[in-house]
Amino acid sequence: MGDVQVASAAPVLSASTPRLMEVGEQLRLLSLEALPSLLGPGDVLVLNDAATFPGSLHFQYDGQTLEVRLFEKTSTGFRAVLFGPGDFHTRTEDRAAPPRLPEGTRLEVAGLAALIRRVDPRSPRLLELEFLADDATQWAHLYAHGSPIQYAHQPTPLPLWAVQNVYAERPWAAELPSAGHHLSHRLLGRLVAHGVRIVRLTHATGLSSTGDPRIDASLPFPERYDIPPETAQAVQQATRVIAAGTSVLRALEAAAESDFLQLEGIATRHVGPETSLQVVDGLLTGIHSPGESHFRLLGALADERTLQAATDLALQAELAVHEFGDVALLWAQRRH
Amino acid sequence: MNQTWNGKNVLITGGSRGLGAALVDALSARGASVVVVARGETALTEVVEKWKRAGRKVFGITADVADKDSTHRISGLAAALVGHVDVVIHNASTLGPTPLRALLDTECEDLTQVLETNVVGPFRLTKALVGPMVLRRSGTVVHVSSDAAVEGYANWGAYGASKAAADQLHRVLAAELKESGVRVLMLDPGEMDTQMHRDAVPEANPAELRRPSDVAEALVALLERIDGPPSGTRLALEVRHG
Repeated sequence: MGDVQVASAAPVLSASTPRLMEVGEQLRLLSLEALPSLLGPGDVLVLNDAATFPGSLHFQYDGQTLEVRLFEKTSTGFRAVLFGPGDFHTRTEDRAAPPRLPEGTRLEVAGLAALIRRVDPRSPRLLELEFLADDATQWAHLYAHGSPIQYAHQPTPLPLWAVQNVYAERPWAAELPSAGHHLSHRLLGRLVAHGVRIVRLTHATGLSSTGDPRIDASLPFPERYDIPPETAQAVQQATRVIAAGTSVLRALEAAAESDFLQLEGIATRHVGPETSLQVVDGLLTGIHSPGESHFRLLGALADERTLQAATDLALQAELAVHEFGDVALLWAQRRH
Repeated sequence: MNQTWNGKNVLITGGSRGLGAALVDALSARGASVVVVARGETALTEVVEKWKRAGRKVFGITADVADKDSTHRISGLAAALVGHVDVVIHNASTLGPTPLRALLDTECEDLTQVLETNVVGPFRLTKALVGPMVLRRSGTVVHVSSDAAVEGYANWGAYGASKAAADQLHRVLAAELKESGVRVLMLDPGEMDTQMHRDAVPEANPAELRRPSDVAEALVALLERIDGPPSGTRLALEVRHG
């Protein structure tokens, strides 16, 4: 969830322990420190080990400073969203629209020559950029010139290190897979000591917001995933599978459609109240509000009445709803 | 029993000269994919291009390990280039100003800079690279140390203190990662015929010094051994002159 406006911005690295709202047969508020007591032998916790890459780039075009947010690697470049002049202090939804740049337009982005290869018919700001350089050069320039996608609720720009989970590896994520942000080595160690098995997959977490309501209504985009065979095996043998983040849930449910035969693929399906979950029994996620695409996904786990009660509790307890805020553990009501 | 380097990904800091460059040579020749980190772009490009021309997977990242903002650029780029890092070799280090000087003549700022490059920088990189190793339950961290970390040599105070601190960081890391599948080793390569040694001891006779390539071969042979030294070991390498 990007650019969620909150009244008082909490610092990135909060000294206090995040709170954990358990949403299941009972609804209760705990400390995240209590997570190991909710899980045990037979439980498999699945993490998204995608690192966040610095996908936000400002560049000059026709006398204006524009921004592109790269969100997905393609064979020749990146898929990207174009923004008009301005920066992250303005909410994504309120950012100035970019000029219309037709297919074939040449740009200089991240110190590299780039070409607008394709403009999405749904919105002129959704582009496919081709870079006239090999992949290694593209990544080197991206890391030299880019910064992470920023959030209007943060007073100062987030450095790259602030948007990584402790176990992050391949740079597949345009935005932090934030459900893992509070999982320290210590907490993961305590979970293992409780008999929980911890495994990983990589899921290309895309943008949470593009500023164009026509596109935002269709988020999340199709996102690629890569599941190690040992993770697929662990998940299939688990008593309960707990996904750390909506990206993990999406990847696991997509792979389940192939009975875990296709471990590398693209998750295209939207998850929502109509979805019958095949794999995931629990979801560790941020605190989401009605109206967000992530909130719709929660409908796959819990009915409307339960989610309303959880929303009421979150409001009443003033749970922090942004990327670095409090967390919820939802147990699936519908069992497969 | 030995394991093969084919399909293994190694990240080496300070890889454009001295022991670092020799390690790039030894590992590339054996088929490992190597990510080479160095400050100087010209020397780095030379090492990388040599192996690229030979058809090997060798990539360069121009960065200063002491620079905080470079940490996730290095780890992110490395993962983008090779997928994951199996072995990280912390080889980059600085002596501080040369000629070496007595501690009481050492500027505090120079000591800070030596600690940044030799302790804090590698620590940041370790944090970024070892987290995913723990999740994969596999990986090796090698810290290139020095006997200046354990002996009280006059004029080697800043460097020696930094190497002692880095040794202890890695010793504790090994204890914390017990049974994680991640191995942590400290290596004293002995006195080598390198630019760094010439800067520190210009009067030394090169013929009496170890060749970096011999040290690199010995380290690579050691890392190949599946029954190699246990995590937390600090090794003084035995080197055969080739």
